Amino acid sequence: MTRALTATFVVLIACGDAADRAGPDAAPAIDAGVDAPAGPLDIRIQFAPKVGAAAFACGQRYAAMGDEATAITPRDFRIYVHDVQLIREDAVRVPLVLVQDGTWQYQNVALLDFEDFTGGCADGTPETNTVIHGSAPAARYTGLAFNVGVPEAMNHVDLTAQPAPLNLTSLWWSWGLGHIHLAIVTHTEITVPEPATNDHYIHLGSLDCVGAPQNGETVACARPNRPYIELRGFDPTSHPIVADFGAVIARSKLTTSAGCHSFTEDTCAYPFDFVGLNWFTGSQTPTTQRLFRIDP
Amino acid sequence: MLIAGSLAWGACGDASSAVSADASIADDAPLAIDGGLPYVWDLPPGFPEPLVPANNPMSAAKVELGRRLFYETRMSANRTYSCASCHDQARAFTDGLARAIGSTGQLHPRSSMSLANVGYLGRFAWGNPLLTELETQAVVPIFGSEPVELGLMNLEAELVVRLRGEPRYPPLFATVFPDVTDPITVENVVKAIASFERVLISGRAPFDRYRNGDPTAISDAAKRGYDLFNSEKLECFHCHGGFNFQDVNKYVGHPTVEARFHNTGLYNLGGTGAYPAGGEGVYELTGIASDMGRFRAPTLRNIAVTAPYFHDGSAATLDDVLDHYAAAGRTIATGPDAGNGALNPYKDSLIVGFTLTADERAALHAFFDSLTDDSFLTDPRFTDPWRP
Repeated sequence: MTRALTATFVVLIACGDAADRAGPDAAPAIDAGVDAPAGPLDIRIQFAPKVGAAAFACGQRYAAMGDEATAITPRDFRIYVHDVQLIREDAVRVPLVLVQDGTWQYQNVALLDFEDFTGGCADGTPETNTVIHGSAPAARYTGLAFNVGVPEAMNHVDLTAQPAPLNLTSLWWSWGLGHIHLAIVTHTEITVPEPATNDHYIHLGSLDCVGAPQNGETVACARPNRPYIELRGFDPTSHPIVADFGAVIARSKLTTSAGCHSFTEDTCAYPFDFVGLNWFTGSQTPTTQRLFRIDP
Repeated sequence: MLIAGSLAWGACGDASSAVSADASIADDAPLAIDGGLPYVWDLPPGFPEPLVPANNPMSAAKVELGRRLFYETRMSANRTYSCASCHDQARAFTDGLARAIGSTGQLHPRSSMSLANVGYLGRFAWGNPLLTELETQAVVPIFGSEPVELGLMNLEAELVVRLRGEPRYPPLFATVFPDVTDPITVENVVKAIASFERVLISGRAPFDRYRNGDPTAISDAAKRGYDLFNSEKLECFHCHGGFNFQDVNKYVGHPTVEARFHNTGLYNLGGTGAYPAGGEGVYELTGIASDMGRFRAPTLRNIAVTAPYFHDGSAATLDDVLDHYAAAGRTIATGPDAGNGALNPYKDSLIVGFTLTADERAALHAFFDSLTDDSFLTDPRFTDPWRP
């Protein structure tokens, strides 16, 4: 089992390496292999936020959630993604060039914002974004790959001088001088010591960082905590990708207020598994990822 | 000259109604100087010029705007707190608490730090190697949620609306940031507050007068205390040296600094070297084992008025601090924090312990007292401008 997992991991990493080179190198290959390719496609990759099989909505009460089967209402559900790549049917990865919309997308980063600041969703904005909008050469695409989080080069800089969507104070770890890559937060119903709600946070961010950007040093983090996600066997230009709020907290003890701020083993080990990371080693574990999936 | 101009301008803003303030600012001579000439610091004798980020040049008007924002309760979500709530001038901009309490009542893991001479620091907070400028540090108390301090997380747009609603601010921001059409932004708020903090310079204590040539400025006991402080017996000066009694300073001519942090043997949980969770210092950011319990050496200026001491306020008095260093580390006999700090494997090698006679202890206190800068603690340029 361990060996099989390792093998999968190595293959995926190798793909990732190839993808890095795929940008400029891939273009001639496309030209050689396809007759007069059509102009770039305008592509809108759709995301469908869910809680298990149900639709995700602020203000909605979801019963029997987490390790203790407690009822929750959502507080936050937002995810930064970057380096989105379409996977062509011949397995070549093609970068999706993001539309620079001044709100949700900046350079190669996009923010997926599934909360609308109503009904207990208290950390975000009324506006939502469930789409990654970009362009890529016309081709038949059968998969999608992307990284969760804000890339390192943009992550450890002065928040107040950053453009949208990188300037949200509610997705900023000010003390760690970096962004919160992913926020999944619940109001959990509790009965002890008296009926109330307790907020349980899953905040994913880069840890173990050294370097001072203002001194011209690069901030490097031993635990970047940016899961690499790869989904195959669907048409990413037309078929939505499910983002499952409930899957990430499936084994969390939601009645505790501690939550996972990426530090602590007892609250982070399971949610890290479910976003595709090993909390103990910091490594990528794509086979344990449950946050994103393709429903028929 | 410039300082006088700045003061006069501040007084003018205080006294005027919103409309007349607008008119007076436009015609005010010191502000014209702001726009054309380099900022002139009011530095104590022997003090170097603070380094200023290229994208946030100093101006008297910006300092005054920052002062207003520093004392501004619109800067907290529930309008109860300003920066000054935890940074009280009379206590050298500390709060007298072991650990700070945020605007929503949340207990902070750290003790509020003095702001005296923060413009010279190479790193900020008690132990954060990533925070290297006041501009990035200021974001932490304003917007941070772990813990909540001012609690403006996710309220950056509302902050701008609130500030627009105070008649003094639009003309002030327009004067300070003349090149933009919409100057009331989070970025400019932070820049102005950082500029105010850079002028919080303390260097006119009795000890400074002594060092600058007045042998009568401090007592003989204080002089003996200073000699002890600098002795190889006590080793204090290694981490509390230089003009700011601190080991890492940057200034014009000395732009880059090493990040230095020290484990002083305050804790040693279970003999493993561990500090209590949430109070582990640089380790919390880097995850490097040897960073356990490492914190920044704070300035000793005004130290007699900034009790309690250490990152978690766990020493109530300077005598407790001296006892800790005399024992080469603190021993806690019982409870969850029990352990012999002197044996902490990550402890700084200069914490070696010493014995003090009663006379020596008194001399050290006299020296500490000579670092209290009353002119700083009462400087009218740093007081609350909203108070009539």
